[in-house]
Amino acid sequence: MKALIALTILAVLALFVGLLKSRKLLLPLVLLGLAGVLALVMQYGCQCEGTFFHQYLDESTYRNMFSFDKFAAVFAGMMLVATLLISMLATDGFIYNESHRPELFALMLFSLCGGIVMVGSTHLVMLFLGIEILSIPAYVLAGSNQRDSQSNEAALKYFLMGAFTTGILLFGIALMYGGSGSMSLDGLMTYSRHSEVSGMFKAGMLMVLIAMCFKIGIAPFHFWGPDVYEGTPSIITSYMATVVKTAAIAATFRFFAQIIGHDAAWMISLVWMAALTMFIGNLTATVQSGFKRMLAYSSIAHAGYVLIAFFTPSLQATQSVVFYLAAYTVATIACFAVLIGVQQQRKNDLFESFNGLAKTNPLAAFTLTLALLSLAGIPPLAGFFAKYYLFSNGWAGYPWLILVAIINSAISIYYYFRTIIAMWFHEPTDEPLSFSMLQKVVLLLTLAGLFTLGLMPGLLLDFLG
Amino acid sequence: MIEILFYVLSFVSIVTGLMVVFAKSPIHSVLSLIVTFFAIAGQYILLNAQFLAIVHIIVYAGAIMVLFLFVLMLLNLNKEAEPNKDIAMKLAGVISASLLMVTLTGALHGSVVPEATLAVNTSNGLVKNLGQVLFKDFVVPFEISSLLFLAAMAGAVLLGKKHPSQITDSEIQKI
Amino acid sequence: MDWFFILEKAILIIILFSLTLFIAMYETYMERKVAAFLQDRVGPDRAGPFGILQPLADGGKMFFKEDFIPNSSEKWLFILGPGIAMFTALMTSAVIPWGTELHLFGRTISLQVADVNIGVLYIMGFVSIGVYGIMIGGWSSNNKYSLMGAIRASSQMISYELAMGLSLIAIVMMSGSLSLKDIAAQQSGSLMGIEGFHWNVFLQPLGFLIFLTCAFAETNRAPFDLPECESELIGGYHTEYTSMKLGFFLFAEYVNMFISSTLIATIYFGGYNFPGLHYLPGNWQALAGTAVLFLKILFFIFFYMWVRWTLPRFRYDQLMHLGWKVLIPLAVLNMLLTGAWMTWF
Repeated sequence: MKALIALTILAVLALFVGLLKSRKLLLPLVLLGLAGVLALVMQYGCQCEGTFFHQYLDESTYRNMFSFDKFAAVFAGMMLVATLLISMLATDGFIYNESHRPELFALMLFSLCGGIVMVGSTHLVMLFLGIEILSIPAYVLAGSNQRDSQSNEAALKYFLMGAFTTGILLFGIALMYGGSGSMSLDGLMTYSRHSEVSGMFKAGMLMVLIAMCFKIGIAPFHFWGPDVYEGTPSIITSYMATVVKTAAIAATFRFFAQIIGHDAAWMISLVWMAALTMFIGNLTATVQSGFKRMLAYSSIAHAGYVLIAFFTPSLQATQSVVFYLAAYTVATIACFAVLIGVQQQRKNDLFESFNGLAKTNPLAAFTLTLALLSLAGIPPLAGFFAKYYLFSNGWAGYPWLILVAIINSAISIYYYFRTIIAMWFHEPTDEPLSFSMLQKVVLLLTLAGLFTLGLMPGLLLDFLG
Repeated sequence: MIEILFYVLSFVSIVTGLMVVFAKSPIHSVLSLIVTFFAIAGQYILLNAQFLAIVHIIVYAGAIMVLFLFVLMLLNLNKEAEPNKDIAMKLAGVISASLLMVTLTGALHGSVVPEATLAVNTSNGLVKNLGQVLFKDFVVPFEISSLLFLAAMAGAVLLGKKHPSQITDSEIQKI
Repeated sequence: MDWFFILEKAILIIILFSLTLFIAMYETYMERKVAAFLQDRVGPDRAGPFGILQPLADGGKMFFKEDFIPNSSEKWLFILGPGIAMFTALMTSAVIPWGTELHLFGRTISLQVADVNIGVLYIMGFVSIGVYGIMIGGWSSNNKYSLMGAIRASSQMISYELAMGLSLIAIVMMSGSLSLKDIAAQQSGSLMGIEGFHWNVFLQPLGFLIFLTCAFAETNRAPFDLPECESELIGGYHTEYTSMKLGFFLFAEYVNMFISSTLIATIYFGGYNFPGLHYLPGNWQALAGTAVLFLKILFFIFFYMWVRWTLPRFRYDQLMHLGWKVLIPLAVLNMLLTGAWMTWF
């Protein structure tokens, strides 16, 4: 809760800095503020005991509304790190709307607050509010490049789809409440385990799940994803692909694992959805000609992998979700850091634009290569260990799904390598790209992250218990 | 008496709800929707939730729908402006809506509604009790929602403000 | 079912209804007389002594004129518009406490149609719905001047509703109730040693000014009568209307004026309370209270007219500027001050 308040104040301060018209103050303020909040969250996360989820019904959970337990702290920390890295890219990323930079930062921070509310929510009302606080600034951010018709289109699509999803979510919540007489997580948990579950509750749960799948982008509810990701300004896409996705997955995981995680009847449809998501994401990604759209489909596929952890609820499953999302976030931000540079200086994101990057910009090419290899799951990078951990835990549940996931990982190598080949084996067609100091710092940090998570997974896992 | 009112209000809200969907002119849709809101507010009053009823009317009928009408009137949308949807789209819509209906009817048919939901405390909807619930049990969501409004407001201002670079070169030359 | 109760309410409603219409009718006469007085003219003096029958003659004229519906209009909505305007104007009087209780035939009769515990919100609700009559009427006329008048009217009403609601919140905070009956009853206390003088206007002067300004805007009266600004819009939203439909729109305006004067009197000027009310015996208390309330109302109706024939009309951007950038911040400030005052004193 303290972190949330601090973050809100930071966002409001960013708005006021906009009033002062002092360009120089803004970025240090945001970075320092985010670092401070991160420290607060980490310090809190270290104090928490081993179990991920609070036992409820105590005063520290704000009348069963919001519980900043270890689960929430870990995911909040992850989102904060992601936002911190993205903010460092913002010098170049927000160039399309130079005059409204403070507002863009403030909206991003507001959205982040929504993400924290989501991961800590233990009540359907809080979940709903979190989703809205996360989404509404994201709709605006998606359309913040008003001169670009693609950005406007993306914002409208995102907004309309999001609004419908919200309607479905609310309908589902109402039905769940009608069925169980409770909206808090522990009430719903007790109801779903100990009594005859009514059809109304099931229908409600179905709708809530559909809405959450929409937000995460699980097939067959993924259609909005690629268009929105492509049209949105790249820096905002990187935010959507990492923070928004992480928050949605974490919140779904908390509710899913605790309310219906024990019920096999729910699993089977989700298992099929997971398999479908992987295939659609990976197969469609192979036929893309643009790097950004390829990343959009690959992010859909990755959401499919994460679903595997949902079917074997346990401490290890929670750890594997955290680890997977951490690896995915770091790699994705690295990809976008390079993409932003390429897009701005080459005016497109075709694979040809990456030609010969290894000769002209070795650091960017090296980082992007490692990030893509990590996404594909090549050892010894973070992605490999994340996948290994996820799959080995999931084997107990649905072995055939793991096989599907492995086949899909193999497919993914194909399209990730297209960029790598373009960078290393094609001759440069254009003059070298120039990356700013902060961009280089981000590249180095993500590089370090990929290696640390890959070579010393124990660091994060020990922290997770 | 209350039961009769309930059925009348339900009938009105369903019929006007259908009119929202089937009306050819967008203005008629909006007006039907307003009537639907009134019928729903009536349901709230039957549940003794007067505060909710009147706030529903003030917010939805009094503010949001007026803005809807505003936009429709200013854009001059009418029957001719309605885009023609092709038959495949309509069919898909009908099928998915029917599927949803089958699912819901199946789920709700004979489902047991627990005591907790049925035991409606008739004084719950009064302002005083509502305030107690809102500012005690639900104080965290209440406060958090201010964040939502702040964010939405900042977003609306950002989208609404004229982009400085939207001023074209010719306009600059004029200056 | 208590049939006497229903009968009693029915009689009260009928009295109120006819009284409202009667007052609205004579407001037109009053307006012309006040205008004449302020401009040093005579005013209507042909129909009856002092022109007292003038409103009847006007009404007759309205009825007998040709009722004309434009070809290109949306017929149903065209008829619905003035109906809604009139309906919402008349509905508001239901929650106003017209006096204390009468004791007749061993029964206690409350001089209020319905003491709903959300009276203030009820009024805000009907004020906000009042926009529809104008909007529907203006749009369905299919005339650009009507449409512009309607849009001006509705944006003006929506904008000023906010400040109005915010100024009312301060009152609700002080009285701790949303019921107009409670708000009126609480003003019977003593202020500076004078019984029955605990009027909200002394406690909420800023709130009163905001409410008064908003009330002018909500009723589309000068200096905020832009929706019917004849120099720009011919006749505004009722350009295409004739006969009694036009009459309804004009009438609704006068009813609204009456109701908003009543509200100002009830909320800020003590309602039926006046110093010395409690010395009166039994039923006289109720009757005298009602009479005093009507005197207050008459004063505010006069005030409306006084302002109309004194101040020039605002420009539209000035109107919006005043509403959004002056009144709303002031109303918020007023709310904060009230909260601070209540917390620390």
